[in-house]
Amino acid sequence: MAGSRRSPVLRDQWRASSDTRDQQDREGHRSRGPHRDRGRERYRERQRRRRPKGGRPDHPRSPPPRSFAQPDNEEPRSHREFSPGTASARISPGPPPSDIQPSQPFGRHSLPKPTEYSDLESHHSLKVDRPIERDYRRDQSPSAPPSKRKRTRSPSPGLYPRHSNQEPPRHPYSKQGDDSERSFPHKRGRGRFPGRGRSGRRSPRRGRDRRKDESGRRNSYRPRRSKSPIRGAKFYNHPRRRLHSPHPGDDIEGEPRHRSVSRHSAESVVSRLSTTSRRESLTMHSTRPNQSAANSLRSPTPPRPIPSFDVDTVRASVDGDTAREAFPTHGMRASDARDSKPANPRSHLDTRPYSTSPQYVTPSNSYNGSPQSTSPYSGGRGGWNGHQPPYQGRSPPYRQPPTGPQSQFNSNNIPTGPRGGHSGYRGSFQNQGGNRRFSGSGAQSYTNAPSPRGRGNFNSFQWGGSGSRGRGPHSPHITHGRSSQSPPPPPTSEDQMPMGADQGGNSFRLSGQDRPVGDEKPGSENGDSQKMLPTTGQPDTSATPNKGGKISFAFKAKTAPAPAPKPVPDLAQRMLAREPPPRVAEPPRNKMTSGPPPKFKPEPRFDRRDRDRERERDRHRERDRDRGRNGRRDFRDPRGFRDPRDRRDTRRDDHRFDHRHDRRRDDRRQDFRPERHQGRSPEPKKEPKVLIRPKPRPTLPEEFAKSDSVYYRKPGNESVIGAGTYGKVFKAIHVYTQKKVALKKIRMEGEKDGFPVTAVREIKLLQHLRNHNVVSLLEVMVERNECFMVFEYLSHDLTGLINHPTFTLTAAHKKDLAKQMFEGLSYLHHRGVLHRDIKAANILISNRGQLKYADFGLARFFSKSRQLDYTNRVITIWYRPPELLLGETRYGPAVDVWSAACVYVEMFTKKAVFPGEGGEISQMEKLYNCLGTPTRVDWPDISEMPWFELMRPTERKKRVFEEVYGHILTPAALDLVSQIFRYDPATRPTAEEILAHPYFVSEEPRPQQAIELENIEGDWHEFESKALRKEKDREARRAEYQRDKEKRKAGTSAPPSERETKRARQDAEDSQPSAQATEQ
Amino acid sequence: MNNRANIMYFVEQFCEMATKEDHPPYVRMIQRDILRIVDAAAPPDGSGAANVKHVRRVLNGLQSKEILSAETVAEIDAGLKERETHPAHLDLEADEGVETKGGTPRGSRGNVRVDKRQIEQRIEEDRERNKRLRESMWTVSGDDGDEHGKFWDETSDIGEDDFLAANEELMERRQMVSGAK
Repeated sequence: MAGSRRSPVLRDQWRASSDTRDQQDREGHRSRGPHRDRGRERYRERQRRRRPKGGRPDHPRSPPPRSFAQPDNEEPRSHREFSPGTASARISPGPPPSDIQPSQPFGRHSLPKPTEYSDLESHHSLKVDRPIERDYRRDQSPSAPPSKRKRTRSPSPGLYPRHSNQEPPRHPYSKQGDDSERSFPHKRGRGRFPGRGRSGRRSPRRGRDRRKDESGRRNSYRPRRSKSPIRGAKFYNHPRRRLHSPHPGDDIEGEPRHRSVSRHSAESVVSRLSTTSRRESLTMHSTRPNQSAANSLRSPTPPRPIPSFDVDTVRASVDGDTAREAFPTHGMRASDARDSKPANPRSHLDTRPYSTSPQYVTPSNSYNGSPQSTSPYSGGRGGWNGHQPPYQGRSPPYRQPPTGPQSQFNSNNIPTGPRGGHSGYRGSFQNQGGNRRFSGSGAQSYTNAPSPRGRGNFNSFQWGGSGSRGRGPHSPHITHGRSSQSPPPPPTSEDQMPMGADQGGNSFRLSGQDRPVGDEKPGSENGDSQKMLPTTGQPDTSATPNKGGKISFAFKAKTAPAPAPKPVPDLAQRMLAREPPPRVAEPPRNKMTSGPPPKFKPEPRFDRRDRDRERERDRHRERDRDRGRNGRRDFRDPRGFRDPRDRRDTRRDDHRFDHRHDRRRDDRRQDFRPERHQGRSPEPKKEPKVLIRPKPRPTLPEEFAKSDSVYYRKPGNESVIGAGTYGKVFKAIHVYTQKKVALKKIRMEGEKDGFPVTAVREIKLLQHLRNHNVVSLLEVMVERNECFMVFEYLSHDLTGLINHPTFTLTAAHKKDLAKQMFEGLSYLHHRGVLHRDIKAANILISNRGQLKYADFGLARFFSKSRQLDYTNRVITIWYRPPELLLGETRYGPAVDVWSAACVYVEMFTKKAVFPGEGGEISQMEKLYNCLGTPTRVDWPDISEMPWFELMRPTERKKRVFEEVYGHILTPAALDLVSQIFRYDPATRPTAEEILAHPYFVSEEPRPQQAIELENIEGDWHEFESKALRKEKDREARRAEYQRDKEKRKAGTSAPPSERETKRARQDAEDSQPSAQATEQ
Repeated sequence: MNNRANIMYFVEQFCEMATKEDHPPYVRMIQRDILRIVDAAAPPDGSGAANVKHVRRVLNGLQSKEILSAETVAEIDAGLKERETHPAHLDLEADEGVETKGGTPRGSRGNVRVDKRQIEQRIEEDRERNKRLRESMWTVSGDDGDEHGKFWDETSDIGEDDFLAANEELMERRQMVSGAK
């Protein structure tokens, strides 16, 4: 699935830039390319060039590998798309192509299949490279939404692996006799791919398509995959492609089967992991290169080659013609690549498998493998060894490999295994499908593996562990066998090209390896794979130790350093102590890393980033998947069978100490290896260490410790900061985080219908609102049969601030608050929310002057497209606009604007603008008195108001608002407010328009946030200011009144005395020096 | 006044029940006397101006229930318009009203003007009525096709708001991702 998807996507992407080109190129490649390697190369180069031109950044970065693959793919695509089978046939032409070409359409099945496979493989490899590149691109574009990127990324990787996996099997199968079927799938895939590819171009779409495909359209995807591979195969028609294809085919077969299994079991996981798989694929790519590079570069490859040779021979014998055909092509490519590089047969073999494997195997192997690859190799070898026999026993090597994978997968998903095994030829198809699926699964496994590698192998245990291992082994087997075969045939020119491609792939891989990040990843992967293998892949582990064990160790060692960044030392040490071979391998890794990076530095970087990101993501995902266990999930998986308790402990530790965890993980991983050999003893040791490390336990203050709630609030009414019909609001503090919160106790008394719907509505609304001008609902808490809404705590509300005894807002402060007020209102209205209870007391101010709307108990969503009927019993009556007072039920955001304007004016006057007596009639009278009586000119619909006849003005009055407030407000502010205070809601400016008013835009002073509030001691809310008024002001008033009377009698005027006296008294009582200072 | 409005709403319910319970004579009587009922609920002297809207609403409801013919409703509507607009004119004429307001408006209002308690009661009743009306607005016919069509019609075109919401979701996801790390 992933493979097909990926390939399509890639193709699509490529296509997007140069679909037509690609197609043409493909055609040319197919017809021309197969024989003309150089031409292909040229095409590739062109494509590379084109790609960058195309505007696809990803391609440019990874141009070399991709260019190879892509160009081929692109060129062939045009032809291939039309006649994938033919293309494949053309591709194969090198050896079989001539025959195939003529019979391409029909003969494709038989002949083309191998070619296709080869092509596919090559495509896969190419694709793989591309995906990597793409991945890099994706990674590079961190800014882009992670999810989308991830998705896209994951798909691409999956696609690659899948394709490779799928394709290779197909080839063999096709060779065997399923060619027709295979060809068909390819064709199908082609047809589908274009569309997919296009969709794939767009990351979101890609992700969706991929997901959908993976989850739902597996069958179709498979064919698509096959198609994609075919396309790729067409591109790959060249020997290179062949080289790739053989390996991929093997890998694919095995992988797909594995994947299918894994998919089945992990399908859901896969779907989830699709993103991860993508990531994994990325990692895989990186890992693959590493592997390939490691193989080629590393001497260890020789040992590998040996097994591979054995496998190959076996396979060759088993596969016979089909295997040979596929292998030859693949071998040719691989050999070419190998020849060009190290020329060592073994290395070639290794490289081939790697290169191919990366494509085909890579999906499984590379992911598991590249990092795992080593492990996969080992595991693969082991698996191969163990599995190989079955393969050998089975005439179809491909099938066998799949079976092998199956067995491995079986650990994960037995059912899939059977599939792979069952369909020998169809199996190819099925396998392909399975492979595709597997690729997906493989990708998943990869993802799992990578993630586990990176951090804890959390997922890997389940999926990656088995799947990756199984895949790894399978792919390696395939690759090895193919490689062994292929080496002889490889044409130098082609080889060079393939080499380039392979190198490119390797380079990517190598780059990954070379690059510390890549190394880390691979190492982690390797370590994971190793660990994984030990833990999950019991069979794998066994297998690994036997044959690939050394190899794998070598890889592991290499990989270990790579992941080492954190755990490296532990791993390395452990590795060394435990297994000398790994140490040997380590140097190679370094070499690899050092060598290749320069070539593909940019790519590796991307890889690193991608890998890191992937790792992190995988880790996160894995963690989530792992039941919320952090890093120890991985451990758990391995241990899962062993020590759950220890895992838990480690988990705790992990949480606290990531590095430690990583180390532990690595240790554990290493331990796992030893454990396998030695036992579980290492784990327990590590665990105790973890326990020792924990930081000193934080101690809670006594009052917090005694608190029976997480949120400590002072006893009695001391903590009450607000009260209303809804209930009470308390100030509390989180005993652990020391974070202050406001607890809004939902009043349940007197509720006949259960939980108050207003509270439900408020919670629902607040969960949808995220804005710096909207108070954030942290959580909803049920405690002692009481329900609390937990809000962030803000020190003041606007009422308290306006009436603050010592602090006075400057004009700039007021403007800033007004700006924030209308900004928040603009946000709410854009989100389709009517607050419907805006008043000074519901506007909170932080001690930094940050304004936030609170109390959404009356808020509701409103329809912007239609005028709906709402209740008019909303908004505190002083702030209620005239249309509501006149009974309008079809209102809109203008009601909030009116209320906000009331609040704004209140900041200047310190008292309500329209303080009615509490009834609608008196309130309306207030409006009439201040704003004049409305006319039809002012408000055409006024007579349509339901209650207009009830509350029409008794006499005409003039508008006096401007006169009254002209001396209080600046000209611009007055203009703004008078615009808002219009009777007709349709003529009121919207919040957005208000923000564009000269008052905010041009008039001085500029808005200035009231950060001075920080200096104010104590919190000021309406509640407190009210209490102050009541308690102190009353007395003050009495005294003042008496004084006033005396003064009046004396003839002295003292109008402001009340407030001043109040303030003075309050200040004196409150003892707020700073505030006092500010006031005066 | 309030009772008259309430009776108007009762007429609507009454006719509905009569139709449902198969008592056509009641419906016929209402059809015959609807003019008298309207006159009583919204008298032409201006005291019933506040009821005009309710009368209209009830008439429309009766028409939709096929108890009253469209012609009858249109006829009554025309008569109501005069009664409704008559007082409004004086109050709302911007310039001219200034001089006349002392005369006619007061006169008509003086008679029509109801005391505050009645107004507030009316406001409360209207709100309750509106509340009850909206209680049934979510009901659907049970036909999935109709429901689908309704949803389709109610769905607004994608716009700025959707992007805003999507962007917020993205931010939230990022926050979660970074937080999870």
